[in-house]
Amino acid sequence: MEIDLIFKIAAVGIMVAVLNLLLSRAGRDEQALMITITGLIVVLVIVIREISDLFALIKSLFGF
Amino acid sequence: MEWIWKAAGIAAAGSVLGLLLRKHAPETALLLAAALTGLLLSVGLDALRAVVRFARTAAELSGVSAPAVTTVLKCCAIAVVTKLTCAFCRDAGQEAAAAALELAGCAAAAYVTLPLLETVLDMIRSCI
Repeated sequence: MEIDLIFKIAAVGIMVAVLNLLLSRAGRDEQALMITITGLIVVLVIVIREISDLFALIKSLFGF
Repeated sequence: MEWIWKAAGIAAAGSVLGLLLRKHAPETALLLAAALTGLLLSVGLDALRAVVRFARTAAELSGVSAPAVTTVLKCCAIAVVTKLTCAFCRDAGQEAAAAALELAGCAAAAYVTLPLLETVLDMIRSCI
């Protein structure tokens, strides 16, 4: 059971949120947006791999 | 059976982390929920493997044809995938996409059961 995955995503999310807040307060909204998008892409890559594994598991289990 | 306690713990921890992220990074919170769902479902499906094996054996012993069992299992898979993906779309606030996916799931299930329905029609034709 890969609980590390959940903590990894949460860590990326917290980092992105803190950086976003700091950059927004510093008046650098463009950089904050870029940080948000980068974090989102990183998490998306991780999640897509997991979802792909899940669909493969469902296919093998139900005989597709 | 120990996995159910672990799954419950993971669900609780993931939900709390999702709540933490929802205010400042809602996109990441949504992806966290997706990862959590995938993880928990993969755990549940591992346990379901034995149940599916038992169902196949029981069907074989009772003389039910293998294609019929496969069709039922395929419908189950379509239902699981459709339900989860619809819930994900609803979490993201995309009600229309969820409704469209529900319809697509119904169509896919009907398509998968077509061979069985054709068999039934053939049986009726042979009886007439």
